[in-house]
Amino acid sequence: MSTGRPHPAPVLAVAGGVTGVEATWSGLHALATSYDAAAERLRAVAAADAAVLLDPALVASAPLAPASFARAEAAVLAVTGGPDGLALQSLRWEVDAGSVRASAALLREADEAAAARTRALARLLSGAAGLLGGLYSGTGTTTRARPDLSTPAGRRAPGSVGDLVGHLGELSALSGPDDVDDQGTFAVQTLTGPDGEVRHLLHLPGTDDLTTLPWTQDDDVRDLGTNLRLLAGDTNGYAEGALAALAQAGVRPDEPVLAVGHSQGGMLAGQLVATAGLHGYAVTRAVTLGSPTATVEEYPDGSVVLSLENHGDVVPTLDGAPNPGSLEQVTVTVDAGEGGVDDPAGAVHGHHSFAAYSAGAAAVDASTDPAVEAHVAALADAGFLPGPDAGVTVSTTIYQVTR
Amino acid sequence: MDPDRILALAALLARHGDLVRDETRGLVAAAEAAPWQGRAAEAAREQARRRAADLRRCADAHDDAAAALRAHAAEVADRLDALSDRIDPWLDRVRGLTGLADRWAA
Repeated sequence: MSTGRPHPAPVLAVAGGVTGVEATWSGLHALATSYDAAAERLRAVAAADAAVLLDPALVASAPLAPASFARAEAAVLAVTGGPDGLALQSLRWEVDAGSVRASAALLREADEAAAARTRALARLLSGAAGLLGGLYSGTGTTTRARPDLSTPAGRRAPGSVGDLVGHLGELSALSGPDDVDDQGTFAVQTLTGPDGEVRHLLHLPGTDDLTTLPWTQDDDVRDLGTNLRLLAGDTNGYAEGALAALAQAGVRPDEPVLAVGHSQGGMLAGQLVATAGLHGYAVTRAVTLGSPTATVEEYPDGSVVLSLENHGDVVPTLDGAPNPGSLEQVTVTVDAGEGGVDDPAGAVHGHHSFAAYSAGAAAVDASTDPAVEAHVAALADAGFLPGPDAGVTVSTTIYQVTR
Repeated sequence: MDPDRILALAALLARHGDLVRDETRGLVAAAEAAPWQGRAAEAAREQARRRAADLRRCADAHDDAAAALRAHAAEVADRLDALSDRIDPWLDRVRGLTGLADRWAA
């Protein structure tokens, strides 16, 4: 019997997160610190052991029972001094702590050397994108609610990454090539738990018009110019619209926000997490689908970014480098092919399609990889995946940003 | 020469043995749980296991030392009792003579 859910795509690779190089490096430093701390405590015990032999009552007892005193003295000396004594053993753990730190340093150096080569290319591309993006108009947009638009998924609380992708797919379908009046639409979904806790999901579809040239730029915000500005990490109309929508939706600075984006929307989702300290909204989590996000230098500590990339999808490779393997960002590469999409435009659309990323999301939901599980759990624990039976009240407003 | 004090020192060493065992468990767990794969990781874990075995031996040596101190405390108590057996009658005799002298002086 079919469940209506896409078949999980094979997972080709997982980078970053709790099993990535950064996590290994942090874990090794934590291990060395625990060795040092234990050695310190053992040394204190050894000192207290040695003080036993100097205790006046024990010293005074020696002439009275010299034979038993000699046996006791030898036994106590064995635990304090000697080759198996505690003082020497504590020193050995300290030496091991140094070895572990040295291994961590070598690991990081090797990783940084490899990363430096790829990121140099990414910076080059980012700089070029910035120059080109500067030819396009950036901000100066208008954002308004579109109460006439809705999607079925906007009425349900998501329970999985697959649900997030499904919702974004429905939203994206509102602004297809033939829906010229609905380009630039995206959604703010609010989940209110039975305890009154409020969480928001910002659903961000991708590019509407990839053929815009600086002199043919119209009121579409999600155009090539915005792609270039996002690639360069610059201010852009889409970000302006998303932040305006959060304000119009009454989102408070302390209320957690998850940004979910496809393609250009994923680039914005990553940028909103990276710049949370600047725009003031608690966008601390993101799910990106087929988005080039390697140019984001660093995500704030504790943030969670789950990036899906389909092998053969060229869009996530436009930044010229793989995503940095950080604790905050886990990148899952799947082999979803063309997602079963029969597109005369060619394989590019199929590999970048929602059908392909739905299969990727199903793989993420089914994954037992520790890094993937930890990131999905971080989304669930933050209350973003309560599912339809958790008594959560759902309201969704679709907004449109235009220039 | 207080056997109770020596017994307290024995108890201290026994507690230290338990502390060393706790530290050993913590160190082994930390080494096994470290997110580290490969030959260097396995070598480091093997090293931690060897060091842990040394520490366990040291904890057992604490138990041995505690036992030796308890035995010494018992020996000291026995010697003190034996001394007391020999000295007490002599002290009684001295006290008796002292009392006689006091009465004679009065």
